[in-house]
Amino acid sequence: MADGSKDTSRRRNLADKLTEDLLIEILSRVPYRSLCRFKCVSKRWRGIISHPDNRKVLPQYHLQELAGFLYKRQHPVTGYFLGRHFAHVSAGGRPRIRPSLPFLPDCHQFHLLDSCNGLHLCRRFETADSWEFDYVVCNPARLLWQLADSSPGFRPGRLLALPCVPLPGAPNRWDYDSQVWVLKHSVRYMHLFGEKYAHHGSQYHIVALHPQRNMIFLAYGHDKKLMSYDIDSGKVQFSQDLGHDSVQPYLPYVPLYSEELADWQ
Amino acid sequence: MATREAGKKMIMLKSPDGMEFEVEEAVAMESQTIRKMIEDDCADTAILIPNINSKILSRVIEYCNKHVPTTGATGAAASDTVAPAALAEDLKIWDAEFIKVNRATRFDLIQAASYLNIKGLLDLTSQTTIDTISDNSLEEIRSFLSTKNDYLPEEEQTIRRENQWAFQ
Repeated sequence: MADGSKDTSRRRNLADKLTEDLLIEILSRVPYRSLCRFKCVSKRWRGIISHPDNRKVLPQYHLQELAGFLYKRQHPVTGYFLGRHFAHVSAGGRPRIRPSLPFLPDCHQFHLLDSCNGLHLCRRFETADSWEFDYVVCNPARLLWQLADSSPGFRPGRLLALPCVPLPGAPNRWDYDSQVWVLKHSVRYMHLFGEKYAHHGSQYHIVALHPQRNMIFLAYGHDKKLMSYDIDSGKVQFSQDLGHDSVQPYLPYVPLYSEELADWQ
Repeated sequence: MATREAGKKMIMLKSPDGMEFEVEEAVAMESQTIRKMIEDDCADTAILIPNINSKILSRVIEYCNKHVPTTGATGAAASDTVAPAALAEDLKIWDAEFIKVNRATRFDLIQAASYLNIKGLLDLTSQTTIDTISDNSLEEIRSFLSTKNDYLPEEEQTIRRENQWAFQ
C-alpha cells in the first residue's frame, strides 16, 4: 500500500516535470509520422501538437516516395470517357487511393490538370448539364480539398507546391552557366527497348519524369506498357500495361500527409 | 564572484538551494543564456540560476566542461595531438554514458538545457527520449512518460482512424 502511493506520487512528479515546453522541445525532433501517432497518446498531447502556435516549430508534413500515376482511359474513336485508373510503381505497398477522387464534393466530373508534391489541381464540373466549372486543389492521401481561385478569368498555370527543397540530382538539362539547353544524356533505342520490342518502331512516348529522382517513365507499344529508365544507372524496368486507350496526362502521385492542404504556406 | 585562477577567468554559478560552483568562463559560456549575461555585463558577481537544483546544475557543468572547445592558448596543444574524428568519437561515448540517468533526472536536464540554452545538451537529452519512445506502442509511451490516456474509447478510435497511415 505504502509502495503503491509512493509509486503514484513519483508518477505524478514525473508527469509534472514533463511541461508543455519540454514536450514541444522533444516533439520538435520527431518525424511528422511519429507526431501523428503521438496525437493518439492523450488529449493533452493532441492539443499541444495541433495548437497553431506550436505547429510552426513542429514538423508539418510527410512526403512519401512516388507511388504511381493517375490517368484516365477514353475511347480512341468516340472519345468517350472510360474510367480513371492508378498505375502503381513504388516498391512499397499499394497506397489507398481511389482514382475517381470520390471525396470531392458536388463533383459530377473533373479533369486532372497537374500534380506537384502530393497536391493535385482539378477542373471541377458540378453538374452534367452545365459547362460551368471551378478549380480545386486536393490532397488524395488526406482526402482534403480547397477551391483554388474562383475569380472570373482565372486560368490555371502549372501547380507549384513547395513543401520540400529540390532533391539533389533532379533531372537537369539546363546549363546554368551558359543559360542554354544542352544535351547532357542520351540513350540508344536498343538499350531501352531491346531487340524483342525494337520492331514496334517509334511507338513510345514520355509519360512523366520521376519527381524525386533521375528517372524517366515511358509508355511503349500498342498497350502502352509502362517502363522506367534510370538515367544514373541506365537500368530499364518494364511494369504494367496502361492500356491502349489510356491518355495523357499521367500525373505522378506522391502521398502527402499534412494537417492542412498546404500547411507550409 | 568573478575571480582569476591560473590566467583563466572564473565565474560563480549559484543554484537556488544555496550551492555555489566556480567554473571557467569559457565553460559557463557554453550556455547561451549565461553568455548573454556575461556579454551584457550582468555577471559581475555570482550568477543565480533559478529552477535548477545543485544536483542538476553540477551535471550540466560536467557536460559543459567536457564539451567546451579545446582551442585557444592552452587548449591548442591538446587538440593538435588528437585527431578531430577520434575526439568526436570519444565525446559520443562519453555522452552515451552521461545520459544513462533515470527519467526524472533526464527531464530535469532537458529543462535545464532549454533554460540555459545549451544546444548540444538539449539535442542529447531530447533525442535520447525520442529514441526511447519512438518505436514503442502508445501504451508504453504513456507509461514511460507517465501520461494519462484521457480519451474516451470511442474518441481514441476516431483519432486513431484519422491517423491510421502513421501506424502502418
